[in-house]
Amino acid sequence: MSIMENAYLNTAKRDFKVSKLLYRDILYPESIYHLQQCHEKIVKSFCIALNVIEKDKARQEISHFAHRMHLLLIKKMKNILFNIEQNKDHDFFFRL
Amino acid sequence: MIFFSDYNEEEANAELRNLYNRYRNNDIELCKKTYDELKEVSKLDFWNLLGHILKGFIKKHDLVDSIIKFFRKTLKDRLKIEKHFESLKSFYFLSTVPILTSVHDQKTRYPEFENGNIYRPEYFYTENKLIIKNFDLLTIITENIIQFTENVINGKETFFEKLEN
Repeated sequence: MSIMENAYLNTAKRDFKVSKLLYRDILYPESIYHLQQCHEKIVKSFCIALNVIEKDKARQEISHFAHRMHLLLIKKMKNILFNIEQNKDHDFFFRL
Repeated sequence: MIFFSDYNEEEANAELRNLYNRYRNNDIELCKKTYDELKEVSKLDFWNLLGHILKGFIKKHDLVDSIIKFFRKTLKDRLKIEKHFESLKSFYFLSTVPILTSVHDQKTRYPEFENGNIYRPEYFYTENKLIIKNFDLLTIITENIIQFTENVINGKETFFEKLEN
């Protein structure tokens, strides 16, 4: 397990807790802020773990633009689905 | 592995549109509004559009089941999903949740400020109101995605590895 993705995940959990506490106290803007921070770190964490992006690039190039990693991830899955359809490989999932 | 240099935002957005059309064409009943209607709503960009579509079928307290139901309808004639429920669940989860979370990612990076650092709730963007309104749903999504990420990091979730191989 990489230290970096684990650090991202742990910090994300803290952000999530803070977000829920703030929401409970009707501090909505601050709650949204921490929820967004939470998701940004989660996405970085699992994209690093899944080799969708390299560790250094997650920090330097992705920065706060976490949606770029979503796009990379979706792109990755889209290609898989596309290939399944193109090849009419209807048994693909059965082999997993 | 997809390298960052391969990333092309325009191409990726086009793919997302294809993804949306695919969903819509497969089961339009799940969308409360059509694509054209949604386009007329001010401030709604494509990320929000996807968020609306997803909210049409991801119901509060029934997130994963709803996704499964949706995909089961979509693919039932081609795949026997029940047989591989657990694996597919991860796949569907990953394919939908990032889109939904992108909505608030896009819209909360530009909060309104007053006197420097103090937020003003009355100046919320429409999109932020949607987030608050759906906070419970986002909480469920977040809990699920944290668990999923833990499983990926700990090697318990291997669905992606299997897909790639």
